[in-house]
Amino acid sequence: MRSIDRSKRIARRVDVRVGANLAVLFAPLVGVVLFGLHLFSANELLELTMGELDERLDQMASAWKEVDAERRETMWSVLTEQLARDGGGFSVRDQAGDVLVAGGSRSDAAATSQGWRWLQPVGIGAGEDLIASRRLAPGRTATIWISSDRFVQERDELLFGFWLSLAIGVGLVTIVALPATRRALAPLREATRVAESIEPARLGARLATRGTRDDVDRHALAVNQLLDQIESGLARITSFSHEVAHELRTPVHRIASATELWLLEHPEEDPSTATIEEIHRTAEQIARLVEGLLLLARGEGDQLGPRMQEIDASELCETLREIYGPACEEAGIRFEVECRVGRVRADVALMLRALGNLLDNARRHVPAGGFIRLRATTDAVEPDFVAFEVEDSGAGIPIAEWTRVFDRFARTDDSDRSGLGLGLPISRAILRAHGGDVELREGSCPEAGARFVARWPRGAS
Amino acid sequence: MRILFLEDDVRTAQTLRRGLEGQGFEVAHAADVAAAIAQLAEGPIDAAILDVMVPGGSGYDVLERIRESRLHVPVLMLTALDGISDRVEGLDRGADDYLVKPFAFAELLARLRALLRRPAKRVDPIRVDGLEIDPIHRRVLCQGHRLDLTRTEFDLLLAFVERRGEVLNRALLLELVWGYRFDPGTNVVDVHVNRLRRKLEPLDPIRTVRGVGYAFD
Repeated sequence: MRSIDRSKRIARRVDVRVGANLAVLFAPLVGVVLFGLHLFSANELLELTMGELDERLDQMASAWKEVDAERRETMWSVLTEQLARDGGGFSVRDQAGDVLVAGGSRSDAAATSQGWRWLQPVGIGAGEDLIASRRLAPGRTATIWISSDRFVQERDELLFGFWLSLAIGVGLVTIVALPATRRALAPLREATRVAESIEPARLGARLATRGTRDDVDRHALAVNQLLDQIESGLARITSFSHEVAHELRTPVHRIASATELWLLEHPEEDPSTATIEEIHRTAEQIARLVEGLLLLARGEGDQLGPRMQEIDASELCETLREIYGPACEEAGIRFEVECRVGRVRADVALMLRALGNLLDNARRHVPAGGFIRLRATTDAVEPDFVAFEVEDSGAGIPIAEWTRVFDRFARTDDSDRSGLGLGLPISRAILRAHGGDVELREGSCPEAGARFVARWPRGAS
Repeated sequence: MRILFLEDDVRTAQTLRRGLEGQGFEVAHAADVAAAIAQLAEGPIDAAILDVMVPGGSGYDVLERIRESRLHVPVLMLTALDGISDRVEGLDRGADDYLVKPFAFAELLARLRALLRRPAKRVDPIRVDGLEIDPIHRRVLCQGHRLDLTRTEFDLLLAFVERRGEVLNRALLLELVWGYRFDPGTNVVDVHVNRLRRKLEPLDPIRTVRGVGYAFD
């Protein structure tokens, strides 16, 4: 699977595509040129072979003219012998077609005639004959033939050579074109890398511009401008929501104080108690929301200012167990704690809140009879990091929702309104202020649902 | 007892003033720094509650004035949550405690009382209504029977007993038990209180103050 994915990925790369396109364009062009060359050389080869036959015809002519019978016979037999090597033969016929002299492998009647055609040298196959004739004297025609085998073999060797050079040529072009295109596309790849690193909370990255004003450079400039606009727009929205939360705090505080005071002043049950209590609860809920939003706003502005102290990870685990254990027990949930790290640096109150949010979130999604597992370990990938895992036996979170769960007010299940919808974003903001992050990972065992991993550098400062 | 109360939001101040006066405090309210300093001149105070962000300066100016005049009164600072450095700075400058806005009135009251009382570390067993609590050996006798309490439950009970009659809200209870100020989410504190209540049966000294928190009577 992986190698298929990999080859797909390579096939999608622009430089590979450009190289392939070049090769595809280049191949027919070279093919046509090479084919012409091939035709030309095959012709030359044929002419050379026909020239040999011509020489044999000269020999025949001189044998025909020879007066000395003994020498003439010797000449005929030498010719026969020579032609036999090429699987050929000769004959001299009179006007009536009767054979006067003949020699060689087959009768000339078996020899196929070859007319001259443009593509003849290419068209000649093995097992055919190459034939030449000449009039030796009035009414006396000499015919000579050899098998085409040798010619075909030599021609095909030539042909193979041409195709081989075509293949090498195309390969060379591709090899030269690939790095060249890759170099030309380097800024685009860099731009992709930068673009991938950008997310709403980290819009600061910009593409490198070289001032060359070429296509790539202008594209980078345009993208940077776009990012500038998005960033300033987002900053306005963020500061607006920050201000809204800030402004809401005082009036909400007024409501909460007034209702609280009323409740304190009226300790006896009263017809209005339930109403005032409801108003008070709601005001407190809004106050918590506002406080959460302000905390997130500070996190975005890198102003969370954690006050680091060194603490035993086991102490964090124990405190969390003490705080959340009884609530889990009441809900019929098994709460397991495992600590395998020593001392860590953290803002204890913030970290308790971050991890507490994860536990609280788990508690609200695990049915009775399930479990929640808090496990503190050294991070498997980065040994400088500690990882606090919160795993539960709930239904888990569909992968499609994995990034969304860290959004404010994101709920995977619309019927779940028990939380404020800020817990996970707050956990993430706190971990990021510690130089770490909260991630969602696959469960470590089949019965596990969601597994949140809060990781941060052991010696965070 | 006369309390200097610096708070610029008049309506919030009115509510809290009414609450404090309801608890028997005499409240000298000031809406800005100058008014607060004027209040200082008017008469001695027993404690000060100072908002950091006020018109005409900051609560720290008043804090400094109080410390300059060698007034050994407890000062509780009210800080905004987004002024993170405030809480550190406040304590550095000689504040005795701080409270992050928005806060519950019960918490303000409990902290103020704690500052005024400044109880010495309890060493003697505390006896109340059939309960005997030994803070040193962390033992509790309930009508003569030894109670088996977890560390959390013991600290919770001690927090209640040391603040008998006061209404304690959930955030304060958490801090008293674990020493951290944080929001643990939903009903965690209630679960702990309910477990403690069950162990204290047949005694039922912990009263729920609806919408606010709990009180030990």
